[in-house]
Amino acid sequence: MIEFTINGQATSLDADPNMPILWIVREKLGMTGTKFGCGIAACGACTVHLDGEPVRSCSTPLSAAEGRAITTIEGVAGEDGALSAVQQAWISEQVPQCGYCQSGQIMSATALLRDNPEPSDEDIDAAMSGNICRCGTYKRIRQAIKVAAGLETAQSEDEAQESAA
Amino acid sequence: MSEQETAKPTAKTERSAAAKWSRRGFIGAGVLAGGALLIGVGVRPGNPVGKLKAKVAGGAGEELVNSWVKVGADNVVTAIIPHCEMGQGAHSVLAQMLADELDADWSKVEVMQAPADGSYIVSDAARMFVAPFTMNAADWIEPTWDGLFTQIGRLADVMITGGSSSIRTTGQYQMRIAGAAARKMLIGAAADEWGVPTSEITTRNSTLIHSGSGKSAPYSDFAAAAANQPMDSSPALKDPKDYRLMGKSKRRTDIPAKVMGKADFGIDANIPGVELSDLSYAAVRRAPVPGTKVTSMDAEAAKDMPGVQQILNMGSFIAVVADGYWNAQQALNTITAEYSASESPIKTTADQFAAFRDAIDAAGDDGGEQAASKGDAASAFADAATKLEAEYSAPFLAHAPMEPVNCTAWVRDTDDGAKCDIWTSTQVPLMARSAAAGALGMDDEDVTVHHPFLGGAFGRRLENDYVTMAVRVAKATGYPIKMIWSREEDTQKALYRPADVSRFKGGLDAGGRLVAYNNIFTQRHDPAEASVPGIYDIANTSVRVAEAPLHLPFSAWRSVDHSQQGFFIESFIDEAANAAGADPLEYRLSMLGANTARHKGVLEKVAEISNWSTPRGEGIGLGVAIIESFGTVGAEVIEVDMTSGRPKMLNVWAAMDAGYVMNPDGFRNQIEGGIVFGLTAAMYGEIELEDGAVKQSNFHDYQMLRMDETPAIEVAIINSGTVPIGGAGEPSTSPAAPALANAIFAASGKRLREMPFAKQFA
Amino acid sequence: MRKFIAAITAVSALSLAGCSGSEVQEPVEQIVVAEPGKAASATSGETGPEQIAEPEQPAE
Repeated sequence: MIEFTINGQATSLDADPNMPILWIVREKLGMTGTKFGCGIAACGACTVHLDGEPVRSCSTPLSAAEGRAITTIEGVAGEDGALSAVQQAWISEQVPQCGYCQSGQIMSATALLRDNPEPSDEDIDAAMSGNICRCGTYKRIRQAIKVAAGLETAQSEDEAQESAA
Repeated sequence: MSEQETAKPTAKTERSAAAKWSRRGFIGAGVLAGGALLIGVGVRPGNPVGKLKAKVAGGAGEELVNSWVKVGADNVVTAIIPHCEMGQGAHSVLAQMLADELDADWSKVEVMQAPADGSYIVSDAARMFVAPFTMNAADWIEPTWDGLFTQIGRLADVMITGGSSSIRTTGQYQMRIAGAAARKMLIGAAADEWGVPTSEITTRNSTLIHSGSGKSAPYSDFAAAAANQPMDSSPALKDPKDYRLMGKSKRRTDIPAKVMGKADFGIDANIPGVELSDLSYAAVRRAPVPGTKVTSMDAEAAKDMPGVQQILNMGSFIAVVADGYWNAQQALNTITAEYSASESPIKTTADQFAAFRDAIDAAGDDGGEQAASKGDAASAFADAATKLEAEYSAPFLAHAPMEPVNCTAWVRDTDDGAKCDIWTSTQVPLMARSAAAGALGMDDEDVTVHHPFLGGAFGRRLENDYVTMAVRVAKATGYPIKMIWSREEDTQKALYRPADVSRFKGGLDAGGRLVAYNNIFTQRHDPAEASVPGIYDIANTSVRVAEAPLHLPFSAWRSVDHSQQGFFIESFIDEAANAAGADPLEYRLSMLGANTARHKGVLEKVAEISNWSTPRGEGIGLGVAIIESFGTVGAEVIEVDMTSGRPKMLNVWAAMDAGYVMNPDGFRNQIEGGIVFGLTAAMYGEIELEDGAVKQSNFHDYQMLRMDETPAIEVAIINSGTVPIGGAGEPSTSPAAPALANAIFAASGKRLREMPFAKQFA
Repeated sequence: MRKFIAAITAVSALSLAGCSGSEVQEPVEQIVVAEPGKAASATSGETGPEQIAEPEQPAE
């Protein structure tokens, strides 16, 4: 039995301690918001927090979670369902395209802003370059991080409507 | 909208169509409880696909009715979207288009993915795409003609998302008509009830209004009666000045779920009645060289691995089925196998490029297939004041969507015969159904395809190789399996953007004008015009294709042929500008041919927003490229800093003319993403061959552009009013590589003729 | 454009041919190590229910 908390919930599981947290979360706990991308910690799609620190769950064994707290994308919003500042910024800046990598992006960005509430562009590069977005939404991710940090103003739906030359 | 036939679906066909959806759970499934009604709208029943379907289906009227909109008792309008959502925003924007013509209240509009059903063929996309199938087959494809014709027979079921086509075809010619026709039917029903002329009824925010009598009613009050109204299949559409939703940056409907981790992709498939923890998972390994088979396997160690349920040698691949993906993959990793020998003489990247060059050499000065010809390019070259010769090359590329290839399948016997359900991310749900049915020897009707969001596709999910594999494993096990490819499998055993070599001989006249253009290459797939420098006025042009063997199977990759041809052509034009001593952007303007007002427009716009004429510092250069593709004209300028000796991309400016943009912010997102996709290929994209197999395996050696290398991107939209409108998903990808190569040349004097670029600065 | 879909279709057919020759192909070798248990018992059944995606709504 391995005991840990996931999104605040105490859990104990009889499972292979060597199995990566990614597959425990997705297949054993049925929480599919955390994504499989590469299996070698090279893309960041599987990022979750372990005691608040971002880790690549595809390469982190369940044993590493013993007695610790796992947070997944499903645990980012408040208990009342209110979206976090990062999630709200992801909506206002209309960040996602396919969206597959965005759980991992949001987990990385959330950790960044907790440690560094007003990140510079270099800080954003350093914290986010482990997360690949094949759709290429990096510009919007950067902007949304600044919006979530209060460094930039959120784009309203109306503001986005100016169109043509 | 010329050759419209008038659709007059009767109440009977409307009802029978509704009954059909009812069986499928659209009505009476709870969400629509309380008298909600679906409005069936027959759109363009004269389309050839519809006719073919009618023949196949015995002329049943309901098969000709495509239906896209329903109105609930709560006055919620649901747009049923026939295209897949793979990040391009089609779900939202198609709903915007329908809702605008319907005068629906956007805050009460919902979006629903249409099921994989023949009622939801995208007939206008089909009309644009479906060929008379007289293409000249290359050798590698010839043996498949039998299979192909089987597929063609099933092409009645064209439900395809690709070719940057959703908005400009289905949106313009199906969703808008559906919305406008539904609005007219609602007005007709209200006019009958209120005893007033239809001309006196107006609509606004899902409400019918008769100002003369002061009457008004929500659409839902008349939804049932509207279904009995005659339907106009060519209703008047709104003039752009009357658009309320089209042309506006409404937020996308799929984004909230995607930021909460609640969006379901194919890999998240959940079979009703089966807990995810009880499901079986399959890991697979194909024979490493295309066309080869597994001749034997040693699975002794795998049998004892935890969770393993079955080990299968399927001929062309090995599958391990286990109680979880991790256990399946771990067990698969212990299996050793022997494979049949490949008949391909190509073993290495060098072999492949030698085959291209041999074919080009063999074609000589006038061999190969003539793709374009004008004047006398050979003589013009001989007589040219300045001669230019250049050879360019591009490598194989994998699509590498973030969601690895996967498919969940369940094949079983029921009282009603054998049935199959599949859950997968696909751009072609009905072709996936055909592929599954074909592999199982079942009828299409006995296969149900569930297709949630796609975690990227870029052309990879136009293919059904993985669907076939999953259903074969599921057939063998007899219980449902979720097949997931490792990233390594996804990278190495896929279908690829072809590599190619392209040679140019160009000649300038004494004034520096390009007057001779001789070009030969080996790979031509689609679009046919991609290899023709048609926007330029070049007096003598000869474009030829030499046939060469291709070791890896072809598939369409975002922007398809433009992805190589754009680099070849726009690099060569840049070399001509340099030879002429001209400014590259001014040179392009001076070379533009007839009917190029839009091209002039985007070049001037991109010059303006990039401050093109303002000199940059030492070691910093600007490069430009312009390409017309998928109905959109796009010019990009890239600013690159070469002072460190390696390219550092600073800025990208893009000016795009798609005629009219339906959702500017969504369009910008597509253009931005397309640029990053193009720059990724330009800097890093390369699939190499070793011993006949793909060498790269994962993101450590098949690299993507990341946050720290992504330049700032600014997009200008030009709504020139050109119709038909153009696409958004692909047009910005192809100009990125030549603009970057041209910028590197401007900054450093180093002319890059091979993709990718980064390794040339190691 | 037209060749695009033809090419797509052709490749699909090629894939089919490569995997199965467009007819049912049984495994060359099938080793059954264990039964899956609950998943198998849940599978005797009827046509898979149509899975209706959650409707998407504009974000507010």
